[in-house]
Amino acid sequence: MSTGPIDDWTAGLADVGPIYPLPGTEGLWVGIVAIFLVWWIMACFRMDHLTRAQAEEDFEDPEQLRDLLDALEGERE
Amino acid sequence: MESEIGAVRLLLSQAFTALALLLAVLAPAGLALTATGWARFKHRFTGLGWMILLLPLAATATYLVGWLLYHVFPTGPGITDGFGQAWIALPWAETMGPGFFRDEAGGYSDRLLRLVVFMVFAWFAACLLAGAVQERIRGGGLMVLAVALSALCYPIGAAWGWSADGWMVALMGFHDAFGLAVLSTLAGGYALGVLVVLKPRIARHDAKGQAVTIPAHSDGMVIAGRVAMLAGLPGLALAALQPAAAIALADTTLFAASNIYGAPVPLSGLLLNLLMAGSAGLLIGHVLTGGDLPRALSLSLAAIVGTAPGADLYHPLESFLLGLILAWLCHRGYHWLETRFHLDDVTGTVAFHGFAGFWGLVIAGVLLWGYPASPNPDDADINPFGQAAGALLLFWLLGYLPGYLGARILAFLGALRLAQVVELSGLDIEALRRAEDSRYELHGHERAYVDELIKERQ
Repeated sequence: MSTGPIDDWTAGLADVGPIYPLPGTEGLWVGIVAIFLVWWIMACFRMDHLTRAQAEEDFEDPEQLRDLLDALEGERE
Repeated sequence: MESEIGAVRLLLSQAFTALALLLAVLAPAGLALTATGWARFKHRFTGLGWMILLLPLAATATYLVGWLLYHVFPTGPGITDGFGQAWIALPWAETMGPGFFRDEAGGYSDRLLRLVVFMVFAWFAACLLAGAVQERIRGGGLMVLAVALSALCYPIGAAWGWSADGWMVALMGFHDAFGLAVLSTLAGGYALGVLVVLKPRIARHDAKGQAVTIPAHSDGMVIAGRVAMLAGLPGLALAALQPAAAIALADTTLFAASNIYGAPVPLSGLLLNLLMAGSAGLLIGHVLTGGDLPRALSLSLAAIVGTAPGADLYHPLESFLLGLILAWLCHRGYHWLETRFHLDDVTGTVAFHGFAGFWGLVIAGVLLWGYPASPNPDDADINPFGQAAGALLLFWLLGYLPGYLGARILAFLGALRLAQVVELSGLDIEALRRAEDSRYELHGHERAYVDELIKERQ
């Protein structure tokens, strides 16, 4: 007894088909992965916003912005 | 005996494609390195991180949607036929997981390796976009646009023009031997659509509107990336082949490498053609750019991309001459876009890939006029009109239009362009600050050890 269609490798491959565990549940995995992907893209937007919002707030002060640009000016590897 | 030969064929095919894939990955990886080198110091790591993230994103989206679209759309659908065998690419189909499945000929097939190849192509398409728009696009916006390109637009374009049953192949005689021109033309058009909405970087023009050259922060990275891409493009072409296909001739069956349409491809000729085209692009590029190696390498890539549609059939010297013409065309095209339209395409995706693919397809239509587009006798022959129409559809309908509309929607939602202050301070600002703040910071038990040492020495 196994979670997949393989019980015995010596039985031959003629009619094996898929060899992964839990065949028949693929639709569920697809749904979960699709939801994850949408969530991930939304999380990217959120992280992007949070990270940049801090910089936007800090550099509202023109002096701070000028200091930073001076520091970065001419940096090359 | 027959089954042994079949097993050897399968093994050789899988080994060949797996090795070609290793080489092919250098194309998007090299592009990521190039883009990082061309980015300014304050933007470099975030841009690189995004291009690396595009691999899992493009791969997952291709598994869920892109591969299915590639199987649904070859026939239009409805232009030449219905949905065909699309069910095998449904993400929940059992053929989308490992297993032992018999093909039409009764042998065991392994279609999933083709899916992996397709994923690498999709990643490359996404990287082409990311390189063009870097330094001013928001991360979330880039991810959405990259998914739309790699898992929606590109699979449809590939289905139409780079599949055995593609309707453009059947009706128009469309031919792109290794799928490089389909990908490049479409991605170039898509990047153009996004760039038109995105607008140039603040630094790209001076107060009078004159273009300002922004130097690469690391020429070494750009050159290394471009050289990796020069190895990666032939890798993509090799990965696109079916290395031991059974090709039915009049009196016998030939086992040879074939292109996606099922026509035999002499491997030596393919590699020689790409090498000669790349050589021509580099030689003429050296002169055209006044010895600017990164730009000359870009023209070498453009020559390879533009020669690829017919690289299964050209003579090496034809490829060389074609490489010269394509490099010149793309060089002029790059400056035309820059001066006439103020386009700020950081890695030259539109000119060096989009234009190269477009002109390569059109020229292949003239040079290969009358050749069969595929072994199927019912398919139209290659002709300039079919190639030009195909190139136009790829660049404008499947490339520019979705890119432009997608960017417009994101711009409307405020999710496309970075705030000016962030663009000025750089995308890496938070990481740079953290690095600066933590340079002399003590972590973990270090504080306790330092206290102990101080006590001992007092």
